[in-house]
Amino acid sequence: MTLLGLSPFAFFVGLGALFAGLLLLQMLRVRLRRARVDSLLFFVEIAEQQRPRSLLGLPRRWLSFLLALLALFLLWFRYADPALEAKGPSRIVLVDAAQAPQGKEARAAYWRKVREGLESKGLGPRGAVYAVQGQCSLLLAPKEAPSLLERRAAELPLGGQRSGLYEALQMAAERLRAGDQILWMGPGIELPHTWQGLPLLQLPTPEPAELGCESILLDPSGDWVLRVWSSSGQVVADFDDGRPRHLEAKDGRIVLGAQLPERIVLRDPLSKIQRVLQLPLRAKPPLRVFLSPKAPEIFRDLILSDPGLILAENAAADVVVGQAGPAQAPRLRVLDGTATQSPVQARVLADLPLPILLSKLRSDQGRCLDPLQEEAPRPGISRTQARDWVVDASSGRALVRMVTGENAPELQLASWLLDFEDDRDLPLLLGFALRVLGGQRLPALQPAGSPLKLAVREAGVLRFHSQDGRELSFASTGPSCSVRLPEGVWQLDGERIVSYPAAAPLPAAAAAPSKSPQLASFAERSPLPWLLLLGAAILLGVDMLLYHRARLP
Amino acid sequence: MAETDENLPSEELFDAEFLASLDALRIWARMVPAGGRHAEQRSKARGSGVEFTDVRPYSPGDDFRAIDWALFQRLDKFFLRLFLEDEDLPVHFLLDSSRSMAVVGEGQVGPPRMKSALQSVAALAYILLEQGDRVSVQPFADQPGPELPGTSGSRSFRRLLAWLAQLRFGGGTGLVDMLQRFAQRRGRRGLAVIVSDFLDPAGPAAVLGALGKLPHALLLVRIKQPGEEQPQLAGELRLVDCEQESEVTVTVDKSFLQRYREAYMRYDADLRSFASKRRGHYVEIRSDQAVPRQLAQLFRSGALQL
Repeated sequence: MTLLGLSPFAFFVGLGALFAGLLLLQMLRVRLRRARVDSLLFFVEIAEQQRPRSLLGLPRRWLSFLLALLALFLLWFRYADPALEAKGPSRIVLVDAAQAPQGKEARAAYWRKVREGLESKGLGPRGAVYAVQGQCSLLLAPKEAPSLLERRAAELPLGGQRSGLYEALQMAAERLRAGDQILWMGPGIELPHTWQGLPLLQLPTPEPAELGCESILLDPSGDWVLRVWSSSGQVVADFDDGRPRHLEAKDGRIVLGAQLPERIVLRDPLSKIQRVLQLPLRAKPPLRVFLSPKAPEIFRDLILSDPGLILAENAAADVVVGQAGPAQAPRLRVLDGTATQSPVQARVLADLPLPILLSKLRSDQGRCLDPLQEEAPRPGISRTQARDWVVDASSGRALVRMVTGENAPELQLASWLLDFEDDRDLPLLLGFALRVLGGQRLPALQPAGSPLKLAVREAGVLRFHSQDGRELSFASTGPSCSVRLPEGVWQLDGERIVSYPAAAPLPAAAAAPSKSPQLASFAERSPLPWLLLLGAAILLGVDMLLYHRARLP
Repeated sequence: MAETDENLPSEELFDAEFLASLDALRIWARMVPAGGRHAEQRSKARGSGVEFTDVRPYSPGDDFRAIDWALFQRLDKFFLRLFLEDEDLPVHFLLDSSRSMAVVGEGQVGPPRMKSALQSVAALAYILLEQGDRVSVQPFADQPGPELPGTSGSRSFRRLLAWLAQLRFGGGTGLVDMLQRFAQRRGRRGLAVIVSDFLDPAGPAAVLGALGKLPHALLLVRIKQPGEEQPQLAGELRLVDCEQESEVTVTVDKSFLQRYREAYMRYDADLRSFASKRRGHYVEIRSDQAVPRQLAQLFRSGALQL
């Protein structure tokens, strides 16, 4: 119960209501029913021995009075909105107060949206809201009314830094119980390695403009569809894909057609809000691969099965497989594996996804490269270190190396690696390698459950679709956000992300896929308030029934 | 509160069935119990009756026809034969015509007491008139109403019925006042038949006190409304007296109803005990049952004698 958590106004309103309720009950009790009788002879005699109830006097029937008092207290506790402490997950919300606008009205609107967002999602019995702004300030204690949030937020200092985030996370982590979550309402953050298992979800920071683009999807019909929203419910998209067009949103969807314009102006015809949408993701043309005559035949199968790759003529190729072909094109060569090098000079070779490719090769092959053991491949390793072969330490044989020649980069693979039967992921990995060489931005290759950082221009919801029909959604505020994907191949607006089983198991809380950013709302809240209300109604009913039947002792 | 008209048409009050039942009722009333008739009365005056009672010496001026010649032959003195003179019994009906007799209070059921009261007076008067008694009816509410003067003879019964039928009910119950007034009247002693609900606001003690001052033999006929001994009331009530329009605020619950019933039964017992001490009779007539049948039952059981 959080009676004291009520605001003073709510407290006194409740107290007044309690008093008024009691008074009303007493008034109801002294509202006498008139009954005409043939004679008052005996009634007068008995009435002289019986003192009737009076409004201002002490109640004669204490049991009735206590019954009414109990019913009113139940109503009062219902008003206090209690909850069973032990049940239901909670959410500790950290709001980036530094993101709040400086202007008074904009700032109020910002916090109002924060409050609306929280009200729609619920906090659970132990949930609380903190403002992160240089230091961590409590905005809402558990079970406090969300309406207090705006008033307390108005007292926060303007500006400030987000330096208290990690302290807030530490504090929140200490309060977590099984099933609880931490919601971060602010720009994308990257957690330290030791906090990878923290059940952290990111929510978009409210923006003053009540107009936005949720997603851009390629409809099965072949049309690009813009999912938009606005506070008024009306959105018009202005764009120029050869001829100026104005399209009005229907059910939050704007069908753009087969061509995706680079720039779309979204506007709300009612509120006059206007936003420019620069589309960050566009369909890419397939990578043209020239297959030299001596290239392993397995590459042909690979290219034919990968929709992102097409066979091309020599002159038009983006990438060459084999020795022949244009000298200026990046090249993937398969060597016979005899080129043994001096041992233990290997380093991680390239940016994503190549280091992961190598890591994958290493772990799948069951070989241990001792020098790399200490320096596990991960994103961010400098390319300048990647010039040598990766060598199988147990056999001393070379595996793969990246050659940054004068004309174009060249990736060299040992031919004995190309064993598609032993390694089912190899076609995928080779496809990635070809894309790296072709200069394409590659789909992320990511250990399942680990944070995947995405660059996003627009705030909204990112929806991932898997090949087996699953769908995952994440909220993002831009310009970047961090998501965690379960195992599988995922599509995001035409981009592919491969999430493969991680070597080390993740903490249960982190590994559990989030079905939707739409967090559980009031449906998960405790039924106790309603039980109290029901109890009060039953008590009042019993009281009145007993009273009218004169059964009260 | 169900309220009836303040008087009823004669056809409804004294219908053919009621009138037909009176002869049977008279037969039941003739079955005199061992203790004799309640209303039987012999005059102390010696007169021209047929029943010999005594002799006395002749004095000048006495009627020669009353001289006992047989006694003269034996004693050689004149003696007069004395006979008891029969006189008719004056029966005074005091009929409660207050408003409580004409209405049905909340929590009670059945027809109002008015019809039963009028039929009781009619039935008893019929028997008395057939016996040759003299009957008068004094209605009263808070004040005494116009009286039906003493009448006798069976031919007077029709007149009595007509007079009862035109009687109107209303006003408060002034039973104690009526009894006090009646006690002060001068006249021959007779039988006072009081037909009422006996619910005088003055209270039971005042009613009993006033009854005790009556110089007449008493027959108390209490007309009862079904449910009056335990009214179906509950809760916080403002009770309004139908006669006085006075009010009392009560909380009616089980204990209240228990106390009410105790007070009611105590009054019942007091009236019965009083009548018994005065060698009178106390009978109850329920308003929801046929009056002739109830009277017949009372005669048969000996609870009522005339």
